[in-house]
Amino acid sequence: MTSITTFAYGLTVRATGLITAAHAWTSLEPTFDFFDLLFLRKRKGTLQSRLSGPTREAIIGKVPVEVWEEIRKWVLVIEMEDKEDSLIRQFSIPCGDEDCNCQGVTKVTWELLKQGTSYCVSLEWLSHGVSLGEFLDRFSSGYGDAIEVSRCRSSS
Amino acid sequence: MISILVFQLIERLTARFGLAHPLARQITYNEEWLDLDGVALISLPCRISPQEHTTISAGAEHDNGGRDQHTIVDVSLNVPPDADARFVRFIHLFDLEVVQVTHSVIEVTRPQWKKRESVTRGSDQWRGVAGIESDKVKVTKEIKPGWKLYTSCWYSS
Repeated sequence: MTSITTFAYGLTVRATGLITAAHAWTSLEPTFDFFDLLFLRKRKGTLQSRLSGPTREAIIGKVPVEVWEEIRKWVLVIEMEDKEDSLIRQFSIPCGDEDCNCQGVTKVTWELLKQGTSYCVSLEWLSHGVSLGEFLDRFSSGYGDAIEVSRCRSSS
Repeated sequence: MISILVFQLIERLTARFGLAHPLARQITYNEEWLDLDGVALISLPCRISPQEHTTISAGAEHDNGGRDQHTIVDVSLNVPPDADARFVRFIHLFDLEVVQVTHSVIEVTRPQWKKRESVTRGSDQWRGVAGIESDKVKVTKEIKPGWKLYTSCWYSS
């Protein structure tokens, strides 16, 4: 019998969403670094582009921060959707049946799995190979040393 | 292998936003094999000074034999001024679903408990709050972080 108690300031979020975000972050991190730098230069008024021609150069500098933020948001949304789809698909084998309604599914989501039975992409499809259930189960049973101390990072 | 990777990825992500994922697991409350309802605890990073540790351990390593072990530490309830803003920013950015799974509050301001002090304790009174009640679980738009006390107990093989 093992027991752990944790005292923390925080809140609880749906785990599947966090798993998606964490996977997407590997690709998004450099993008965010870029945008952080861009916002910094924007504030300092030193943002320049190498595009030739004085008009284009001036345009880049004048694009408001809100527009850049919107662009970053879209990059994030697209990346999250793609990662969610590829993450779930790695646990599944397509059924291959041309008449199956799963052929119409372009993106697999956690939400789609929750709805379950109407698509073959749901539980049956995912029960092949290294199953998603096993993946999530290991995530929920504290794989390895559950009590292992996570290294503290200084907050920025 | 893949689940270890997930925790590393989650840690890396939360650290960037001044937050942490203090548990090496998700919190589950239903028995389904494919559990898509589990939740994860996101918190402020913390440490137990003067050590680098983030958790306390009573150190009882063996199931058989040895003396009981106890650990008790003081808790500082100070939080950084931008604490709540970090959660708001993080949750909005990644469009995460906040799920309320608590159903009780530890309180020190209400004195009613004193009434029971004279009563001889039956075994029932030693029992605490147990389990997450599925019907109390709710998704909320509110991003209200707070102090949470989490306990997990499981059979290890």
